[in-house]
Amino acid sequence: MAIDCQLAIGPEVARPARPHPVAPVAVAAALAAVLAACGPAPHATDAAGKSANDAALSADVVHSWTSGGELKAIAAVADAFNARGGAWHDAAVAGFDNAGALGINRMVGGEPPSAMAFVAGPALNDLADRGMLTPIGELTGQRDWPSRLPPALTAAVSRGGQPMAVPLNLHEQSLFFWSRAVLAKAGVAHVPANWPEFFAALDAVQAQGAIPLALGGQAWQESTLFNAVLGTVLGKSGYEKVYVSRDPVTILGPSFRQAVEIFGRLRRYVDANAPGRNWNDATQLVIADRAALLVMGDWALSEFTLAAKAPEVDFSCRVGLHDDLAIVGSDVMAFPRARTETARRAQHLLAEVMLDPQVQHEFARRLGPLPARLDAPVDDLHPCMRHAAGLMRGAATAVPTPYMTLPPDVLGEIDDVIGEFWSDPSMSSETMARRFADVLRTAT
Amino acid sequence: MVLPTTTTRATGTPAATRQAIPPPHARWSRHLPTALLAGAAAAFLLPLWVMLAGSLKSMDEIHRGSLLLPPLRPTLDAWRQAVGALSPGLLNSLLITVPAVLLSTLLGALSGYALAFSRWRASSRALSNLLVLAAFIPLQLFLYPAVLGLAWAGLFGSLAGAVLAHVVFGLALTTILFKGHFEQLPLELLRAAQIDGAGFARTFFSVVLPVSMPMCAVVMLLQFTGIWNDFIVGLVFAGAENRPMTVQFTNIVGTTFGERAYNVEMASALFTAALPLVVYFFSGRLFVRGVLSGAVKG
Amino acid sequence: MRERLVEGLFIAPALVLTLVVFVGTMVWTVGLSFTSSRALPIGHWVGAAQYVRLWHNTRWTASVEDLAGYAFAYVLLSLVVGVLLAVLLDRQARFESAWRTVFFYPYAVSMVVAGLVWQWLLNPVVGLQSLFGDTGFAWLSNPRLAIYAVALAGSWQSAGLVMVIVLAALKGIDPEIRRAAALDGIPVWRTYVSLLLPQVRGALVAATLLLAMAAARVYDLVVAMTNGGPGNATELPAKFVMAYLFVRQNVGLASAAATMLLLAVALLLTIAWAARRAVGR
Repeated sequence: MAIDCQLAIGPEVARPARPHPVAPVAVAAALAAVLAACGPAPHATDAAGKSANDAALSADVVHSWTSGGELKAIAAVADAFNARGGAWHDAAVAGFDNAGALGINRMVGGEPPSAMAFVAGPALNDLADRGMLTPIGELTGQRDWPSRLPPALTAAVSRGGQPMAVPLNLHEQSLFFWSRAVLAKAGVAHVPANWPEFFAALDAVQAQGAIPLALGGQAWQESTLFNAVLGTVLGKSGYEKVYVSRDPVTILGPSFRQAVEIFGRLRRYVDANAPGRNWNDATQLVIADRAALLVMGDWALSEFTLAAKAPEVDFSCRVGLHDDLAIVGSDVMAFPRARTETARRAQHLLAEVMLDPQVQHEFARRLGPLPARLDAPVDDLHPCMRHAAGLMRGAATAVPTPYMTLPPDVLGEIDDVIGEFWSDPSMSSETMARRFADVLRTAT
Repeated sequence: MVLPTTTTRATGTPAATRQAIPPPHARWSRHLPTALLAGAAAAFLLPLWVMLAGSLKSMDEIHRGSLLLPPLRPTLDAWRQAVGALSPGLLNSLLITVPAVLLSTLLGALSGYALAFSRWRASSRALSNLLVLAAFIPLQLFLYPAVLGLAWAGLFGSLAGAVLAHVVFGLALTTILFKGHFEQLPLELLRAAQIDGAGFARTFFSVVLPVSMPMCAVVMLLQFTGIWNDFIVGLVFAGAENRPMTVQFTNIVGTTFGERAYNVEMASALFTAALPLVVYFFSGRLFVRGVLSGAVKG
Repeated sequence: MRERLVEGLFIAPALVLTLVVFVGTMVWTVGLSFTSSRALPIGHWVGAAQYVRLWHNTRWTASVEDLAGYAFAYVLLSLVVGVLLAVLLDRQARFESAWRTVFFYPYAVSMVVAGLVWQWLLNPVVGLQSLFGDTGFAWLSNPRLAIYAVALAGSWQSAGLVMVIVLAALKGIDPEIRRAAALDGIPVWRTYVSLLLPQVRGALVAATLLLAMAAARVYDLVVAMTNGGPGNATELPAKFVMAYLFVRQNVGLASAAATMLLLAVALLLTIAWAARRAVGR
């Protein structure tokens, strides 16, 4: 960069002095610009801006784990990376919009991050198809790890037969959190296990004056609730006909409509302050024993733990209503094509670290979900997750969450349909089903 | 459109003349403006109060009480966390904002002057119209092209890249503001310079610019606020080690699946806004002088 | 001849930058709207398919409606409050600096902060409602009112700017006019409405233009305050474009939306210019 500076200043100074007032200003402005460019701008050849002579392998990782607990969790991966000779540079940015903007723009701009967090599924497809991601096979010598994952997960991260991202964890997206105190006060003897008991319990709670269903009226929360209902009503095969096969017959059929109607009935059990409420405020309602039920993913467990609430004592957790079907998702790390050999080596190390069952275990333990690898230990995880593990890891008892199978824009539009139905009690379940089918039809 | 009152604007309305207006009829109506202003002030200050009070509370207190009540057991915990998290980005914010403000103001003044007085009438008008249209376009649309352009220039992912992006994105507004101002300048000023034999450029630097200092203050203030508070340009263009404060601020308030500490969020909001607020406080008078000098006249 | 060259040098930076950046971006965006670009821009032509998909997209149609509601409420409220405050400060000369700071400070605050603090204020449990009772402050939960709540937050931010602009213009009016009106016994409010405010028409137009620009670009405010909810009640075009650019990975559709926004603004500006020329400058 020093050479560049000199060349830039050279011509300006070499020009003969003119009796023109513009010249001094022009030179000053040019100088300012050049100084700014030559200033503290890390524009070396390496992706992370360090000289290639550094002993530690520098890697910068883009992700959205920015809250206190989340940062501690990703630190488990960072520490392991650093311990093995890496230098982790965190490029966390809150919000998936922003992380996406950062990562993709950096790739387009020629300064790709070493790794970037995605959700498992078609979100990777376009980048993978354009050859902008490094297949994991090129980053690690291990060959058996794909078989150590739940099959749905392997399929979700693979493109053209080869894995394009490393799954870090396995989320459960349809946990039912029941407040034992609220149920007891309403005279409900045991946790509801089927729809009749469910509605009876909610009615009893409502009669007592408590909030039956704690919900945050945001699109993704409404979708979470809808998918939990869908899984319960349609079971594994029906759910997969909707989200995996995108079969219009199923979507326009009676079972789907029944699920939609049940979902619609739930509106009545949500309090008036639900719209716009954040998920952790909704969770607080159940923690504070002001609401009976919360349907949420496993990240809610951290709130319960922080409030020192014990499972089966203060609250009950079930995997879905029937406690028999898990809706699973996964956070994965993808590796944009590196520009230099040093960057590639850093990515190599990153991949190895992230595939390590022990690292996955520690990351999961701090964050809340299960580790992605089936051979990673789960004994010291939260009791609710231990309980759910069998269902989540079993091929016959787990279904993929929609983002694992739908392209991101279709997924967004499905969320829109669900959200619009929820906000509009006058919409019929037929209309909802029809619009749902229409959106899925556009998925290529 | 030049009003006959234009000539008095540079000097302002002397206070003495305002006393000459006879007092209002009823006594209560003398206090009415003050009362209304006080009411409005309360409404305007309410958000500031909420932020201040909330930043001194513990999360427990926030969950339990109203946001409008003062803290029962004030604590500086939230502030400690906020300042700790945000101060690393403070220098970057300054390194991006100050050059960007200076450069974009200079460029806007040059372009505004050129468009106001150039003899290339048709192209000036076309350019002006395009700039007005461009000022309406949401920022997000410029991201990809700017990324490609800066990458081609080798400036992507650097402080200079962020500065340049801000300058370019702000060109439309700064040019329009300066152009409007320059068009309002008294013609005698320009004619005098012409008689003295000054050319296009010399008129600008020796005559027009010195008179327009208040206007420069206006543009700089507006740009300062916009660039200091910007998030996306700093995030995408500045590079991983040069993140401005606003990126970290977004990380604090924007988390989706993590826990939310509202008191820290409020302390962070105040800390992020502190510098612009201070700047506004001390430059308010200058700003008004600038507007008074005919900055915004349509 | 040298003069024209120097002039050219002056215009050159603006010209080059405008052409390359602004016009280039507009052309590029319009071009992309006819492609099937997903996560990244590609050149695969699909005709008007994206536009067809756009107008069938209920979130887009909601964004357009909401923008109309937002722009109208935001511009109107900012103008009304700003002008009222300017008039009040014009009447009341003491402590002007202090008053001005009080009403202008929100402009120094970022839109993210504005959205957040108003979200807290309108929180049904711990916000204003907690002090004033259940008198219908739950604007953010009401799909019909939510967009006006967002406009309120936006106006809180911008009214001070309008006030400063209009106040300065009022101060520039010849004091003779005021004195003559007072001597004639015209009541104060009539003086403002019929005599003084029309004199600051230019300032009002400029303020309106600035407000309209801010309304078309609004993004951070709505994301921080409601994130588009409840339902689609506060979805807005800039947010739609951003979502489809990066998270939903459909650059083609985002470009189509952006082009529509561009067309709408161009149309409005053309109408405004034509109207101004018709009325007489």
